Amino acid sequence: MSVMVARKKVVRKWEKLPGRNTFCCDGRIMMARQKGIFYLTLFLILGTCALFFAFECRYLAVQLSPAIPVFAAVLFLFAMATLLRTSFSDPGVIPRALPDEAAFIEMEIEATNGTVPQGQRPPPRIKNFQINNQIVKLKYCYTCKIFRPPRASHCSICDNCVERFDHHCPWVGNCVGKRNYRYFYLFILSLSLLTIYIFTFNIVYVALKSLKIGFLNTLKETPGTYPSTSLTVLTVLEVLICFFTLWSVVGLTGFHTFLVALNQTTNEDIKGSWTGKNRVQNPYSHGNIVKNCCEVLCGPLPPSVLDRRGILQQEESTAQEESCPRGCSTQEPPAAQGPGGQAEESSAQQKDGSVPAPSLSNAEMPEEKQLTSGELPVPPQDTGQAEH
Amino acid sequence: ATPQVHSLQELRRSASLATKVFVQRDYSDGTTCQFQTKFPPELESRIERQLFEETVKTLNGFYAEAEKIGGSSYLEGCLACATAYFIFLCMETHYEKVLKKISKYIQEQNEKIYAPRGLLLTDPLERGMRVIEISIYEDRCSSGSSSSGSSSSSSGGGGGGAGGR
Repeated sequence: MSVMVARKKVVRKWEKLPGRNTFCCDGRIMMARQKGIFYLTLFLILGTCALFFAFECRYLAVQLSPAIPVFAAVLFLFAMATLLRTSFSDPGVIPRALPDEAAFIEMEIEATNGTVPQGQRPPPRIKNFQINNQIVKLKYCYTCKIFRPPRASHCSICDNCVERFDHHCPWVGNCVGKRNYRYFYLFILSLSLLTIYIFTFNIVYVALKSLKIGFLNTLKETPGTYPSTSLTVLTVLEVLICFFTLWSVVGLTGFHTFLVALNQTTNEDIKGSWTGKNRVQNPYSHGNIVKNCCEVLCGPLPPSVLDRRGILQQEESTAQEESCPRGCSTQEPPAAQGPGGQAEESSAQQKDGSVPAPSLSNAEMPEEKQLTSGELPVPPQDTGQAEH
Repeated sequence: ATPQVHSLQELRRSASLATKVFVQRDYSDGTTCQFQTKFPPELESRIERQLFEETVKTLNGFYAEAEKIGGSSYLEGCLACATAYFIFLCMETHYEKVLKKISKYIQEQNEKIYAPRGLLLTDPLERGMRVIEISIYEDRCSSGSSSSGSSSSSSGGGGGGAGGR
């Protein structure tokens, strides 16, 4: 086959990823499917802060100190940044096993368990016992066809196995796992502080105004541009939102602080993995609160292994496409399922030249390199693992 | 384009994928990324045991270095937090730097040790850090001795003809 230039749209790996995620910005952003509550979160935060900056801040900056809106702005920006990081990043999804790997593991399982006679159901959960100082059981995930690492769990909403799975948070529109737990924690922490801050200064605002012009007059005051809306209504609205947010978010922050100090996940806490007389103690805790906090919040951050922005090798031959069960258009069937580096080149023919090193730079390779040739398409080293 | 390219090309042309071996993760030390150094029986005739073990041990060392919890990783974490993680837009994390070292190492090992023996290592990063995949090639000229024990699914999944063009 001669070299062909394919003038077709570049297909990136995120388009063929299994699981129930939504991707935006050409694979840079990764979220769960249901995003409605996330939009509500955004609306509440932005709305309340907008009202605060527009009305109370103007008065307080003049009367008390200009540092008040500045500090509020810093808190607000930090909360937004961490929220978006939590929502848009890969929580630590474990890619599904390629057919080769799955078959290999199944063979191993059959070797240990013996084949199941026809007509009988296989044992419900296949466990692999590994010895730590205590015995840790690895569960086999039927969807992903892998043995889940310890602390990983399968999220039924997103249909992915996630490392160090904490929980699926609809407010944030994503799972919370190994890679975005620190962002999630910092988000709820900064949101708590922001809520307390706004709540306090709203009270201060009403108090100050009442001192000056009396409480009743404060209630009747209207801002210039909204003749029909009393200023107090807005303030009261903010106070109400802050009040309800306080109870939930501050409580949640407290709970997660507890979890971080003990190096546990919500999932483990709910299941009671480490509590109870007959259960093992948490082997992941360092025993020291400070050390646990440091590891969870400041520890090394593994990059995403999903390679969402890698380019799927397109091939002209329809025969190949038909043979591929997932309907992806890569040369070799097993490669397409597994998002990761140059998964397509795992098949023999692609290993031409040196083994391409996945470049983990954040720079993206230009799309025009996607020239599919009948020969070995040299993949652009576009792992696009920009931190999201 | 170095001589290495030719040797791997020749490997592909003359060899077909026989089977794949998957070296699993070793969780005896917790959730850190380590691979089992147990020598797979399928490689018995293809490569010396200590070469294989050395490769896996070096890889384990790299991963341990990437995930090391210490002063510098805390510093990086705190600095990133202080900048609301915007610094990740322009800076590479320590982990990513080590992963680059790892892929260079694997490339080197493939060129020097594994390709001449008809084997190929795949970077675990491409397999979601679950396994080290070792592809075993059979020379078309030599007859038999492909691992008959393994079911056809593995060779089928390997995607048949290497020479597919």
